[in-house]
Parts: sequence; C-alpha cells; structure tokens
Amino acid sequence: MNLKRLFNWPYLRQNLKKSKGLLAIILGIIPILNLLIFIAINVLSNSEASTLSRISTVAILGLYTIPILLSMALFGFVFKRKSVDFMMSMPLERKTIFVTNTIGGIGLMIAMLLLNILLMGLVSLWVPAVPGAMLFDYLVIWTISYSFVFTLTNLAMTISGNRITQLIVTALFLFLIPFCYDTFIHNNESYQYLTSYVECTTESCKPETYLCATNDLLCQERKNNNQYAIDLRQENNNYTMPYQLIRSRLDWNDLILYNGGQLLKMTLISVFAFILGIYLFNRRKMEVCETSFENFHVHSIVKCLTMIPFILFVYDTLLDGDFIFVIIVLFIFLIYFFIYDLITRRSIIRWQHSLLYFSGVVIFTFALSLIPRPIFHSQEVVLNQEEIAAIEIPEAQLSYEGDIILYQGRFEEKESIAHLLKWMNTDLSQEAYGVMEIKIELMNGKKYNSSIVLGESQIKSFVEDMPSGFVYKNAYDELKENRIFAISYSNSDLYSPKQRKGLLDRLNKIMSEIDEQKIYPIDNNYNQIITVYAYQDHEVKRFQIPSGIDYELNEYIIKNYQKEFQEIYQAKPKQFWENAQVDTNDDSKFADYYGYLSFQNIQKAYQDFIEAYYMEEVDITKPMIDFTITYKNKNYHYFTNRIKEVKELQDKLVEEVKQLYNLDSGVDVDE
Amino acid sequence: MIQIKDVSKSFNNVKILDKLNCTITDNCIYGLVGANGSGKSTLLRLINGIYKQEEGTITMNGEELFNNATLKQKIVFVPDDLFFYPGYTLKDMFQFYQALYPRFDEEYAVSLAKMFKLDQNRKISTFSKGMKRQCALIASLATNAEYMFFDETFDGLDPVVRNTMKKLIAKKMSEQNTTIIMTSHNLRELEDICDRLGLLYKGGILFESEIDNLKTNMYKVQISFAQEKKKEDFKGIDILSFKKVGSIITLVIKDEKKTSRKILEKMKPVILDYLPLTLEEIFIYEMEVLGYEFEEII
Repeated sequence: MNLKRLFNWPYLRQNLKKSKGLLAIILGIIPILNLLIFIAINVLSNSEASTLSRISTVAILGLYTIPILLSMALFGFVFKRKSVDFMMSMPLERKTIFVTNTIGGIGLMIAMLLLNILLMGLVSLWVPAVPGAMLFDYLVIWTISYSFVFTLTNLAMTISGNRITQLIVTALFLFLIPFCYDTFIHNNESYQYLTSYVECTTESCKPETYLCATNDLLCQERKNNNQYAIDLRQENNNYTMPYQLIRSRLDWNDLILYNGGQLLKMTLISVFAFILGIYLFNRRKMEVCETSFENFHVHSIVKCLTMIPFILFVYDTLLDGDFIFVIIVLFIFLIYFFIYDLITRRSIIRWQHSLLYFSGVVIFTFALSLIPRPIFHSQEVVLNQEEIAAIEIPEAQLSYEGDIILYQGRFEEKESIAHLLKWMNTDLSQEAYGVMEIKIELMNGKKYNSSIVLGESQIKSFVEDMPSGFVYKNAYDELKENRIFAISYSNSDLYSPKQRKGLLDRLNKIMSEIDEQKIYPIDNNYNQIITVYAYQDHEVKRFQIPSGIDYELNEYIIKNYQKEFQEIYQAKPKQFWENAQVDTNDDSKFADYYGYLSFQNIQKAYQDFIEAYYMEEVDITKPMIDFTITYKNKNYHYFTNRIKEVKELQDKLVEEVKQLYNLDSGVDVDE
Repeated sequence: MIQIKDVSKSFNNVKILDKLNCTITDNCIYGLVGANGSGKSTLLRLINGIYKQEEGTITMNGEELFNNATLKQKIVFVPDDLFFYPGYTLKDMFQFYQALYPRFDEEYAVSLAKMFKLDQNRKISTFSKGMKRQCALIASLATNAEYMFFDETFDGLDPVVRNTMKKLIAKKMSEQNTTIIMTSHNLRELEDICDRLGLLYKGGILFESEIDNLKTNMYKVQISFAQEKKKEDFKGIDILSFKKVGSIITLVIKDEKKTSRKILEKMKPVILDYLPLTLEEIFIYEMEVLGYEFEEII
C-alpha cells in the first residue's frame, strides 16, 4: 500500500496553516491554561493528593470542544460550495483528504496532550505532585477519548450538509445511544442494584441471623437452598467517556478515569468510525452543502431523534399526572420542530410531514418507556460461594472500645471469603456501628460492589471470625515504594518530599513489625489518619494507618510539624498573621456562641497565645491541643500542652460576648 | 483527450445533464457556452471530480478521472465563485499549489503577479473581485497542468487585463500544448480565443464545431438587382436566411465549396457585398436551422 496515497503531509501542512488561530489555542493557550490550573489545584493546594481526574480538569472540558473545533477546521470546507469547488478539484483522492485530516487532527491533539504532560512533568520535578505513571495514563486516556470524539465528529461530517447538522449528528452519536441504554436499562443509576443472593456451600458462610417474613415463601425456599440475599451493586461505568463524564453530574473527583473496558470500547468505535468515515467520504455527495441533508426524510428522522430525551422527560411528568404542563411542553416541542428546520435547513418542511414525524417519535418513545425494564436486562444474580476469587476491603478501620481494628486488604483464602460472606448476609438487628465497603471479584473476572454492615455487638464476633492482621500488612507490602507519591496527615495536609522520606522509613518499620493482632491499641491522646498514596494499576491506591498505633510515629509527626511551624514563623513573624488563619481542634466552648463571637477576636487571641509560646516543645505523652495554621494555602500545625491556658482564653472570649449581648439567661450553655 | 460519455446528473430530482456526450481533444481552446443554469459549471465540476455523475463515464486518455489523484495533477480548475483560505496571501496560495502540483512554476507565478502588480504579501481577502480572479488564474496557469478548466473565465476583469489574460492563455496553449476549457454565457467573450465551441442546452451538447469552420463557411451577403427577385431565384445557394428591405436583399448563406460568388455574379446584381458574420450571428442562424429560438438558448 502506498502510504503517500493515504497521508499527504504537504496538504496537511497547508490545511493546518490556514487555521493559525486554532493552532494557537491547541498548542499554546490550552497547555498554558492547563499548567496554570494544574499548579493551582495540585501544587499550591495541599489539601488533597493528585488524582487523574484532578489533573484532567482542562482535558475534560476540552473533550467537548477541541476535537469538534478541530474537525470543523479541517473538514469545514465541505459545507461551502466555494470551498468544495476549490478543495475537491485539487489533485488528491478523497481517501487521502479524509485519512490525512483525521491522522493530522489526532496527531495535533496528541501533541497538545504531550505538551500538557511535559509541562506538568516539569513542574513535578520541583514539586513532585504527579507521578510519571499517572501522566502516562493521562496521555493514553485523553488520546483515546479525544480521538473518539474527533472520529465521530468526522463521521458526522461525511453525512451532514452544514456545521449545525454536523454538531447535532455528533451529539447524537456521542450521547443518544448511551442515554437510551442508561435510561431504559439502568434507570440513570450510578450503580445497578441487583436482586442478588449468595449460595453458601460451607457452614462458615451461613449467616448468624437471617430472617424471612412468615408469608415470604420464596425467601424460605431460598434459605432452605442456602441462598441468602445480599446487597450487590454493579458499577455502571462502561459508558464512553463523553457520556460518562456528564453522567457523573460534573462530579469527577471519584470518577475512575482509567477504565480498560471503556478505553477498549472507545478505541474500537473510533477505528470503526474511521473506516466507515473513509467509505462515506469517498461517496459523499459534495453538492449537498449549505443544507442539513439531501433527503428531507433523513432530516426529519434526525430531528426526531434529538427529541427523545425531552419526550422521555414529558413521559415521566405524564406519569405524575401533570397534564397541563405536558400540553405546554408538547406545544413548545412543536415550535422547536419548526425552529429546528429554520436553523438547520433554512426552510420549513411542510407542517403535515413535521406533525407526522413528531407523532411517530412520541409514540415510539412512549412505547419504549412502557416496556418493563427486566425485558432488557435480567437483574437477578446468584453468586455461588465457590465462584468468588477474592473479596477486597479497600479502606476499613473500625474503632472498637478505644482500640482499633484494621481491615484493609484483599482476602483470597476460601475460609476468609466464607466469613466475609457470612457477615454480608447476616441481618442487622441493631443500629449500624461499622460499615465496610467491599469489592467482590469472581473467578470469571466479573466485579461487584457490596458492603458489610455491623452492629456494635457483632464486631467482636466478626473479628474473631477473621484471619490475623497479616492481610493488612500484605496490603501495605503490595504498595510499590517507587509508586508512592504522597502521604497525607488527617486526610488533608500533604507531606513535603523531604518529610515523606523520613515518614516512609518509619512506616516501613512499623509495618515490618506488625503482628497477627486483630485489634490494636491506639494512643487516644493523639491519633490521626496517615494516608499513603501510590499510583499503581492505573489508579491511586490509598493505604491508611492510624498514627496512634505507634508512639514513635506520633512523636515523629508531631515533632516534625512543630519544627516546621517554628521555622516558618521565626522567619517571617511580622507578616505571618497578615496571611494566616488559625484554628484549633478543640473549640467546643464556642459551640453555642458562634453567632456572637467575632472571628477577628478569636484570631487575635489565638495569635497572641501562639506568639507567646510558639518556641515551646510539646510533650506528647501528656494531653495537648493542635492548632492548625493556614498560611498561603498550606497548613501548619502547632501543638501545645497548655490546655488550661487555651480553655481560659476561650472562656474569656465567651464571657465577653455573654456580657456584650446579655446572653446569661437566653442561651443554654452546655458545660 | 477527455471523453465524456452518456453523463447524467440531477439535483433535487431535476436532471441538469442528460446523457451528455462530448470529446475534448488535446491542444485546443474549447469554449462551452450555454444559458444560465444550462449545466456548464456542473459539467466542469463533474470533469474535475468535485461531483460524481449518476450515469456515464468521464475519462482522460481512457482512464476514469473521478478520484484519480495522478490524473488530477494534469488538470486544474478555476471555478466561477472563487475561494481562498482566510488570511492567505498570494504567496501562501502559490505555496499551496506548489504543495499539490509537482510541475508548479513559482518563478512564472511570481513574474505574472509582478506583471499584474499584485502584492504577494497582501491578504487575498483584501483584493478586489477582479484582482482575486487574477490571483486564481495566475496560480492555475503556473501549475503547468495539461488541462485547464476556467468557469466564467474573465468575470470581473477589466478589458486590459482580460486581453492580457487571453494572450497568456493562448500562449500557454501554443507553447505547452495545454488544453483549455472555458465557459461563458457570453459568446463574444470566447469568439476571439476559442478554437472550438460547444453549446450546452437542456442537459446535452446541442451543437459543437470548430470556430474557423463556422466562420469560413457562412456569410452574410447584401445584394440588389435591377429586377424583382424572390428566394426561389437563388438556385444552387444554401440560404439560411432571406430578408428583403426595399430593393436590398440580405442573405445568410452556407458556402462550404466557395461557389456562391460565381453563381451570384452570373445573376448580374447591381450591388454585391460579402460581410463577415459575428459568432453570435452564426449561432443564431445555425440554431434557427435546427429549429431553436436563439434567445431561448443563450
């Protein structure tokens, strides 16, 4: 195959040269904007460790604009008679034009993404905010996602006669099929809640208490067959990226961006769209431009398809019985029918035709809505105990009688799986005390989400059932040290690289000494959660350690923070409070007076206190108070044993407002 | 040679070209005339592979032209409605053509731009309509393509530039054996440059001929006799038109064998004048012979 016949670089260069503005946006403005937002969110803010979604803010917004604008810039000539004459008379095969523009467009987007990761990577050399593997995944995810939108936009171009129609067809390609699937099969839920049972084959799997209503014969029958109801959810995240992002209702923080199934699906669709695009572009009637479609029936069908989501909305309202609203909305739809024609075709299709198509799409959508969901998808799942390969508890710490139970890890042993299943299907007869989210992985690779809810009295039995603490230790050992990119304290403050090294050494030591204990005593004087973040298996893995399980760890953390604060305060004592805000972990005395207390007065009192004692060392064996000082977007900590003085200071502030507002009789003060 | 065989094309169920047949021989300037909407531009777009015909074939030396990049390097097309990339200068335009036409002669293009006093570094969008057409014509002439298609070629050009362009086109044809195909709805526009003319009417080529043949075979004769004469008296003369005003008879005759003068002189006329016919007149009379009203066609 002659590659030059497929890809013509001189043509691409000329075609890109005309779009200097877009080039400047893609290769200049966006990487700079991305860098600025990256620095603002991931570098300057020390509240959270980077995740793929946090570094992808600009990329997510760009997904809905860049590939579409690029496609319009490269293929926009097909929508104007003048430019069609000019371009199509050139000595280029249609296939060459399509392939060159598509590959060129994808290449340009990759160049932009490369620039993005290069700039983010350079910043990360000084401030290690993002691990290299995460940047690589960023490149993979967005290359595939952008190419997906780009190839579908190009495909839309091959059948459309103007830009607006191209946009509409692209939107239908990107959203209509997943929307219908989502609506008709998943009811727009993030999780598919399954009617599910576990079938126990061993005694250890059977629940301690499992209740069936006396008239629930099916439940009894299942119980006799050792089938017990469990809460099972399947994550509905196999939609293509553009739909998935909108589906998550713009809350991208918990979105798993690297999804192998999703990426494969988008890649296959992109390849298909590319090949189909070549075929259709070769056969495109170039005279069909400056209108929507050659055929008005196709125009009407596409117009009807754009209505489906709105008609579904009306259908739901109809079920609620609000008929007047429905009539108003249907009238608006009819007007839309004519406006759509004017915008996309610059002429109005005969109203009889429009009415006919409109009635057709309403009847079709309503009929589809009336079909019961189970016809589309069977929701009942029966898991056999033997089918389960592993159960994972991603994050679990249960405090128990002042001590702590650590259960984070992956359980693959048959007996452990049986015990966990037992607690999954045991009825909760009291208030929930501990909830553990779990992930179930079957032998065939299928994955489900579930949870174990325990009552207080059940905790002890649960712990007795479960294996030793080595699963927790294994979970830590599975973290690859070179993939650890952040450690946070109390779920917010991130350690600097220098501090991280010292802390990691200490954590390694603790974890190497951890024994088979199931319940660990903790230092109730001071206990904060240390979270270790590692980027591996294309996601951020979090491992949590309570600092209170080790005296030396607590000492290390507190001393380090104390030192860090003393250093920064000593260096800039005068300007410090102009840019700082102070807070304490113990301000219960203020609880009833927040409406009256002056923020400035509290700040001033705390500042004076810290100013007076900031060089004092803290004795961590004694009770202490933790002041959090936010200075230029970074949190510092100052610890003091002078609890009495702090309480007095707080009392004084409360007393002042009581006198000022004469609150003695009016407010119940809970001492 | 470009051969168009049984080509049909419709728009919105209206047949614009209907089983059209036409042969464009090499090294000539072929003029295609026809009324507005007769399908001239459509035919050029089909030949240039912009549109695809519904029926028939368009071949260059036996090979299908549509979507054939190798053959399309031998043809260049200047449409009636010109397009230039936004922000492009004439220099950019030359680079564009150079990227796609391997035989593009930049030196020649630059020299023509200088001759027409076109600033190569100025954005084409700021040029006047006539200057834009000059740009398009210069770029296409510099491609050194074997076949050049010009739709409404001289539209917007002033008489001086129009003559210069005609000379350049004729020179191109004579020096490089280029075949030029140009359309116009104005016969006078093509009369002094074309070798061959085709008349497009109702989706087909109604009439096609060498201009020289047309001009040398047809005459307007003004004649007067001492006695009264009728049309029937002119035996042996192929009369296309007979008009009598007073004693002056005006004949339009076809005289391929050049025998008319002898016959007429034998009739001892008082006055006998042979006057040249314009191309438009020739077409009028030819069409009248075919039974068409000329005003309908052009």
